[in-house]
Amino acid sequence: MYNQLQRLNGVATFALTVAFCLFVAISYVSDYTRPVDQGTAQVTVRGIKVQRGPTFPDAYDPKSRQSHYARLAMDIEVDLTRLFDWNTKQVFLMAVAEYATPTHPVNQVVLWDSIIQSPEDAEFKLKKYRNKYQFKDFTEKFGTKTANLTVYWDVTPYVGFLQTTRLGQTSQTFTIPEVSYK
Amino acid sequence: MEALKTLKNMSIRQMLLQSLNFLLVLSSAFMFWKGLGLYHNTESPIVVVLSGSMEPAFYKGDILFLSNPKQVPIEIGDITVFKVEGRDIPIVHRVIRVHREAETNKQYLLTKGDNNEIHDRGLYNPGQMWVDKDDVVGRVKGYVPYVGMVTILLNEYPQVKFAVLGLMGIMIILSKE
Repeated sequence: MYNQLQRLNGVATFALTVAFCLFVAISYVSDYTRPVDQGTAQVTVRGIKVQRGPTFPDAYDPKSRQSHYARLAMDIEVDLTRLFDWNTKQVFLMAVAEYATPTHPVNQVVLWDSIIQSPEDAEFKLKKYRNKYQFKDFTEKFGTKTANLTVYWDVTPYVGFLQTTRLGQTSQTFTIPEVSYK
Repeated sequence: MEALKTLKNMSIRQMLLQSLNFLLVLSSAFMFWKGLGLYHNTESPIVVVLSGSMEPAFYKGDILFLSNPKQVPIEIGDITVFKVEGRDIPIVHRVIRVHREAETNKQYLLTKGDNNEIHDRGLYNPGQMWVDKDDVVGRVKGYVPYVGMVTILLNEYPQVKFAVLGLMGIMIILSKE
């Protein structure tokens, strides 16, 4: 007959197999049922100024002193309550400036982000909010006059697939002005 | 002592068969790992989170599944696993800036941990401003919590590793078909 060790082995193997199958099932089901496209998030640029040199010294960027930095004021209006179902751990939300320059056809810079962990926190409005991260070109000066501002979000589940397609609201075009003060 | 008795009762042929079995288990695990890596174009298709810098998305001991399709460029907001030259342990952080150069078609990335206050330039090598796409091991596609705690335990306490490995070996060799 079976000894204790074999029994233990059998039970453990079965438990692991069941857990594994459950994980796989949950991953596919929740990936399929989550209403990922049912949120709204709108960011509007209320004001923008470009200055030479960073507001706070940047030790990692040797060219920061002569570089141009844009400072924005944004209105942010978010309602992502419906993204929270039984397998939503958090929603990562970000406002991204996207633009093309002759030397760099793709430039994406996150200006602001937010981690939403519960449906109660998923609806909010922010007025004239400053950009959280530096807005600066790859080169020293902005190689473009216009840029798009888009809001993207992705869902992190408790277990399963991370959202593979990034969803966003229609973007807003804004103008990057010349240096206004030093 | 029952175990020793079974070992004594085994013929050489039986013992060889059992060791072959043991090797088969090891090599199929290895092939599974390599096959997954080949399919997803990454050197390590499964990684364990070792720090809390991506909390609350990932905690220490969680397992991540990676993929790194060659043709698909890295997008803003992707959670990447990348290497810093000269350091063994790769970093799992989110991409907050992407610049693609027209001339070389190269992607320049800046990363940041969700739980960190600022970007990762302090973690890169001195003077390094950007992460190259070639340094990226993979992008996180799937997530399972806690399971990686086992590997962390095994790595932090090598005695446990040897004990578990030894026990597993003995069990496989002594188990009858």
